[in-house]
Parts: sequence; C-alpha cells; structure tokens
Amino acid sequence: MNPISMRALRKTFGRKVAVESLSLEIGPDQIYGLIGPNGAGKTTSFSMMAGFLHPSSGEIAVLGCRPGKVEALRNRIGVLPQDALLPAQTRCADLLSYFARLQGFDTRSSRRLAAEALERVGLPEAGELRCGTLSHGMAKRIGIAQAFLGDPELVLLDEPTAGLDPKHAHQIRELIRQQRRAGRCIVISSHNLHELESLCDAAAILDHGRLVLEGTMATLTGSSRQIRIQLLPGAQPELASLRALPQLKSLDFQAASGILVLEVEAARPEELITAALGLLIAQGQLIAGVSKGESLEAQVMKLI
Amino acid sequence: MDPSLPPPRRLGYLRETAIVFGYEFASIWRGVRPLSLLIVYFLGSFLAAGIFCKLYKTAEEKDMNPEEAKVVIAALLYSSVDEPIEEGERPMFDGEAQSAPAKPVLPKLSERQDRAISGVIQSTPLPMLFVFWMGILVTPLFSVLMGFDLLSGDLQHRFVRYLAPRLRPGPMLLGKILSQVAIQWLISLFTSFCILAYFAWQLKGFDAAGALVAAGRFWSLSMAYMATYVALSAFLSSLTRMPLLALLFQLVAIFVLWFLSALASWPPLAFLDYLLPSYYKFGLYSPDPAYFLSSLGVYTLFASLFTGLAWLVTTRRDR
Repeated sequence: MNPISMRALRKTFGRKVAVESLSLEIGPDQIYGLIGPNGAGKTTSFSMMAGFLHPSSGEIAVLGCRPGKVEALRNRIGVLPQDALLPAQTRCADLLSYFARLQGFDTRSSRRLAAEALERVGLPEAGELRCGTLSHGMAKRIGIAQAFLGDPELVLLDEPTAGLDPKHAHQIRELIRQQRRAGRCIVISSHNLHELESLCDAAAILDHGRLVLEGTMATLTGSSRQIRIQLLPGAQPELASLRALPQLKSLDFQAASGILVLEVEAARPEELITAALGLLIAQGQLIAGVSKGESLEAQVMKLI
Repeated sequence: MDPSLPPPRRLGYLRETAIVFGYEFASIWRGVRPLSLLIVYFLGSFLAAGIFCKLYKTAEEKDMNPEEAKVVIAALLYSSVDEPIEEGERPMFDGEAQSAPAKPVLPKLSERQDRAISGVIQSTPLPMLFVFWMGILVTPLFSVLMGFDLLSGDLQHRFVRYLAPRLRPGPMLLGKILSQVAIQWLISLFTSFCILAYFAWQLKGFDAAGALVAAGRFWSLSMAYMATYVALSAFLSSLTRMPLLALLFQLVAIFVLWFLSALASWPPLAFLDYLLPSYYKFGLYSPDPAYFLSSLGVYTLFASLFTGLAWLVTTRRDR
C-alpha cells in the first residue's frame, strides 16, 4: 500500500478551482516533491494530504486512512505547515513536549523527545526560549523538529528551507536525507527547484491546479536519456564519428554555445558518455563539462 | 528516536482532554488577559461592594427591618419585576410603605421559580446574594473577553495545523473550554472571597459561616453556568478565523440574549424565557435541591449543546 494515494481529487474555494482531477500515488521510502509556481495547487494538495483541507470531491488516503483521522494517524504522520505560527508565550521545549504527549508519549519520554528534536535541528539551547522570541529561521527549525518528532512513517514538509540561511538549509537537507535513509516517506512542497532536484527521488509538477507531469527525478530531468557535453565556445568537433556511436538516438550540436546534446537509447548512458568523451578527446577537443539531462528548473520552465 | 524510550500509548478521549487542559491552563496564565480581567473584576466588584455597604448601612440607620431591607436590596440586585410572590414578602420601607401599593419584587414566570427565588432570598445572607449577583452578572462578559479567540485565534495563526495530526477536535474543544472555565472560576472565587472578607470587616453581624456555606454551594456548581457561556463563546469563535469578528459575534450574542430576555417579559413571548440560559440562574443558589439540580442540569445541557455545535463546525471546516 502506498503511503499516499489520490484519485480525481478536486478542491474549490467558492468559484475558484484550486486543484482539479489530481491523481497521484506516492510510494514508500522516498522523498517526493510537489513542484509548481504560485497558485499551482501545491499547498492546497499538501493541505489535503495533511488533513487541513477537506477535498471538494475525489478520494485521498494517507497511510490507508482518511487524512485527519487522528486515532489512526497519530504518531504515524508528521507535518510542517507553511506559515503557521507558534504560540508566542510558550517555551520551545514545553511546546515540543506537549506535541509529544499528544502523540501518546508519557511526560518523561516527551521531555527527552523534545530535547532530541531540538538537538536534531541544531537548536539544543533553544528549549527555554519562548517561541515569540525566535527568529524566522529558528521558528522554522522548531517547526521541522516537531514534524519529525517521534519518527513518524510519513512526513509532509511545506517549504522546509524557506527563510533559512545556507548553513541551516544544508543541515535540514541532510536531516531529510538521513530520515529517508531510515525508511521514511517524505513529501516536500517547495519552490526551490535546485533543492528538490538534489533531494527528491520523484516529483509531480503542478500548474493551475492540474498535474502536468509526474515521475522519478531521472525521468523528469531526462537524465537517463540525454547527455550534454559542454565544449569551448567556437569548437568544431567532427560529428560523423560521434553519430556512429552505438546506442545514440540523435545528436545536436549548438555551435554558438559549444554544447553537444546526445539523445540516448541505452540502459546505461555512462557507456555512451565514456565513448563520446574518448572520441572528443582524441579529436583534441577541450571538455568544459558533462551533465546528464537538463536541470529540473529548465524542464519545469518548459512545462509551465 | 532513542530506542530505550517506551512506545507511545493509545490516547483515550479523557487523557487527550487532560493533556490539552494542562497545556491551555498554563498558556492562559502566561498571557496578560487573566491578570487584566482579574484587576478589572476586582476593582469593579469592590466599587459595587462599597456602594452595597453604603446602602446596607443606610437601611440600618433608618431602622429598616432586616428582612425588609434584604428583600429591597435583593430586588435591586435582580432588577426585575412583575408581581410580588407572597403577601408577606412585599418590601416596604417603614413609614411610607404601609400606605403605598405593594412593590413588585420578582419576575413571575413559574411559581416554582418564584418560590425558589424567595427561598434564596430568605435563606442566603444578603452580602452573599450580592457576591452571587456579581458572579452571575460578569460571567457572560468575562467569557467573551477571555475566550473570544478560543478557536479563531488558533485558526488565524494556523497553530491548529500543528495540532491537526495529533489531536481530535472533541478533546481539543473540551480541553480549551474546561481550562477557560477553571480560570474564570478561580478568578471569580478569589474576588468573591476578597469581597466576603471586606463585608466581614465592614458589616456588623455578618454571618461569615452561613456565607461560606452558601458560597461553597454556589461556587462548587457555578462551573456549569460558566461552562454554558464559555461553550457559547467557543461556538461563536469557531465560526470565523478573525478573532475581532468573533468578539463582535459574541457581543451581539450577549445583546440578543438580553433583548430576548426583555421581550420575554411581554406575556405572549414569555415562553422565550425558557430558551435563555439566564432564566435558570436563580436555581444555582437555590436551597431547594430539586430546583438547584434541575438548573444545574439545564446548564449542563446548554453547555453540551454549544460544545456540540462548536464540534460540528470544527470538524467540518477547513483548517
């Protein structure tokens, strides 16, 4: 059973259709991204998964249950909502401890879990601080700490690194990777395409409330079917020998920029990369860079 | 997670409610609102208590019969009135009252209530009536000011989204409502005992023991009365994400309740009284156990009804 399953999901706010006919299956043990511009329906979809919003129609199941069914999902799902404020007067450790108690842990365990959670997001000293005194970045990290509290099976993160400085954003990305390695399914909604490309195993691209494209990151970026070799601008490689390479589907050379784009049919594109580079080096060409596929950003820009 | 930690338990409704109650109770105290309201309530009560003492002493100076004085002041406190209950209870000032027509003292919708009110007045030390009256008078306003953002505040700031995966709407509502009731009750209790101490100091022959017994009975069960208004506040607060709009709803609701109560004094609309929480308030300090318990039951029903409505809204609305 997939952790998240949606079928023909629709959400409207008055006359405005925020999400239309969204069907997705999000499998276990992966980091899954929700991608799209503002108003694409990412946060609305995310909120329906988290049980914040009721779908107008369609079906959604989270860990086999209706989202919002607390008895069944308690301590199995963690959520970082976007723009939700923490109570200003409450101390961070007390708040995390309260959340842990609501997840079923006893008072002593809750205090330990709260301390562990603060440690995990690099804020071990923040326990005694009141939430109202935290900077935006610190509050975000407390939000992330509560999402991973008790090690839930499924974690939903809305813009997890927005507003964080590079060091802490890196720390949070490492935490997410580490949690994925521990076997958790993590869903991230974000505008940060570079981050999603580096983190996610798969993603869905949404636009105007509809699913535009969905698949593994390799599929989305074309990394398994396209190789881009950057030569020096003005370079003039001998293309006939390259075209004779086995497993090559097509070849395009952008002379002005010096980019060779090779479309591949191979199961292992690395073999083709090695062969193509061997030929180019033999021709005396200088190689400035090699990449597989296009960046996620370039793909998304084409689609929306 | 540290593997040495015991696994989480399955939380029952009561335990979940208790956790929310503990957190909310502590959180409310941390805010400035309880202290501000305590100060306002305290000062307001003492101003009114000072006026009361003055009235009481004036009645004593005029050699008014204590029973008569009691009924007159009680009538002033309840500010209501249609017909006298019984001939012997008509309040009259010495000298003037013998020739004047009888002054109606208490509302008469049901004889049972009249008898109960009469019993209250006769059996309760007069200063205690004042204390009860203050408590009953301020409770609706207190509930509004303390709890107008009970749910709308969490919705506006979306804090409710942190709770959504962990907490069912029922325990959330119950925990919040009970913590508000507990805090209002403690504030009222503290202020009331201060007023009682003031009366014991100011009034000669003040029956402190009788006052404490009556107070114990009243305050031990006034929670149901407070719960009614806090639950109403919670229901109205659940209707909007904007606390200021929730505050407006609640002030309008208090006005509507008062207006309906006023309309109910017109005989064809007298039935309205039965639908209003304020109608049953006398039962809370009635010495008649049946009337007291039925009043308590009605308040429990009102509180349950409003909590149920808040639950319906909370479970159906988007967070």
